[in-house]
Amino acid sequence: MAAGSISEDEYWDSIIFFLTLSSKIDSKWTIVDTKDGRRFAKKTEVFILSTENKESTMNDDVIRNTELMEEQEEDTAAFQVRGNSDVEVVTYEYHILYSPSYGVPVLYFNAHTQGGKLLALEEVWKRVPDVYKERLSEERWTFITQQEHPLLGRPFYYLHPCHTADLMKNSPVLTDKRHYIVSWLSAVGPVVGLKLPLEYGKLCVS
Amino acid sequence: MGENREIQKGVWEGRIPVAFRLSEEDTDGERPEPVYLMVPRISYFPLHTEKINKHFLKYASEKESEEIWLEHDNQPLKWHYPVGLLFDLYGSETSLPWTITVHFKDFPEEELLHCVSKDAVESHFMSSIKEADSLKHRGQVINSMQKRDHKQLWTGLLHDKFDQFWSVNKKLMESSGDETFKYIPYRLYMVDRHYMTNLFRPLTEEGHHQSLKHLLLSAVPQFFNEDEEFQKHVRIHGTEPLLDTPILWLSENFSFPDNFLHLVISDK
Repeated sequence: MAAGSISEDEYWDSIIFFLTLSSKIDSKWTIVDTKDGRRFAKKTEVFILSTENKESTMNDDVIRNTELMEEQEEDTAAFQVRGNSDVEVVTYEYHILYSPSYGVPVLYFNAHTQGGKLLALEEVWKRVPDVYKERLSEERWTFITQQEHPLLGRPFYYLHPCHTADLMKNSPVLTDKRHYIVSWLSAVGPVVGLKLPLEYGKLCVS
Repeated sequence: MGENREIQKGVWEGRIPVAFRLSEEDTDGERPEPVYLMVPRISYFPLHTEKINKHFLKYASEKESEEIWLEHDNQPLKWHYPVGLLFDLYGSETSLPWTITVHFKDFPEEELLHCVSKDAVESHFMSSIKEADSLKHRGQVINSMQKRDHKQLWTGLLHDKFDQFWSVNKKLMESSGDETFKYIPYRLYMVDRHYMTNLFRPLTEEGHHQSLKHLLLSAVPQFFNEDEEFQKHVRIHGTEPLLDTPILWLSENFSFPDNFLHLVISDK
């Protein structure tokens, strides 16, 4: 195996470890079995995005998301009025798959509005947090694009895996290969709004 | 290269006669005559249909140009598959020219990738080449090339320039001595299911060449009978290669420009 990559067996060990952590923390990740006996890890997350400011990125949105949720608890009626006028509910579905070609995990995702409409690629790019914007402007077409989901055959967005091994090669040394997924996901997830609670890192250490 | 050059050129020059028709749902009144085109097998539809789209749009009821998409016999055609693969998969039993319906309405978002510009095709094409090199050489050849070389692969395909493309592609196809391909970049396709692939080495541990038959035996053993006879047909570039053909040779000479062997399995 090249530096930074993992074998499929190591990958599954790491996924199982990751799901065990998830069950202790937020239980948001599950394993999906496809019709032809293949598997992948999946998580669904609902974001409440501002429509006032179309340029807002996932960073701002997440903050807004939390604020609104708190508001909702206080006053449901007020939330609903606001909800109808200036926010948009977008459901993100994240899949983690193993790429045998690259020997690394790959993050696939789709994002649908409440009406069931798929977020366009331009919209997905727009929502990438500012810290990654420079890279996005230089190489958007080799960063996030649409691709056929290798196990479902349907269109999904994905983060190109060609630099993942390099990224992981330079990440802090993994004393336990089972920590690979946590380390990888905390590095690439935030690009598309996927943030791992700190507890994942803490549980890895303990 | 020598004799192989002729084979690679033959693969490159394959064309399919296509009749493009505007869908009935997309016209208010007069349905325009079909447009005929010879489309390279190794290329992608969006690189050839620009003029057709402009022409048909004059007749389309939706002037707000919605995204164009193609369909044959109720099967939406994935633009990110090479033309020859789509034909071998869906069109090989129809009479020529291959009739394809052009749609402007009701883009099947659940089935087709969006193609907003040729950038999307370039991105897909280059990703495939990178993935293939990751399988063959752990990505070492493509990563050691300059941006200029990457661009030359793409423009070679875009402008149908065989020599321009192959002068760079030959480096990606080099496999001599110890430097032979680690794995074969391939995908198997069948109607009504998505593609299959797996890691497959071109040589056994003892150094013997594996054949196309060995690859099929490992990927789709269910299609062989007890005497190890293949019960289906396997097609690429409109031909049925002999099952004894060494897979390394096929990979070097019969791969599409994206460096993958796209093999179609069918009953007939």
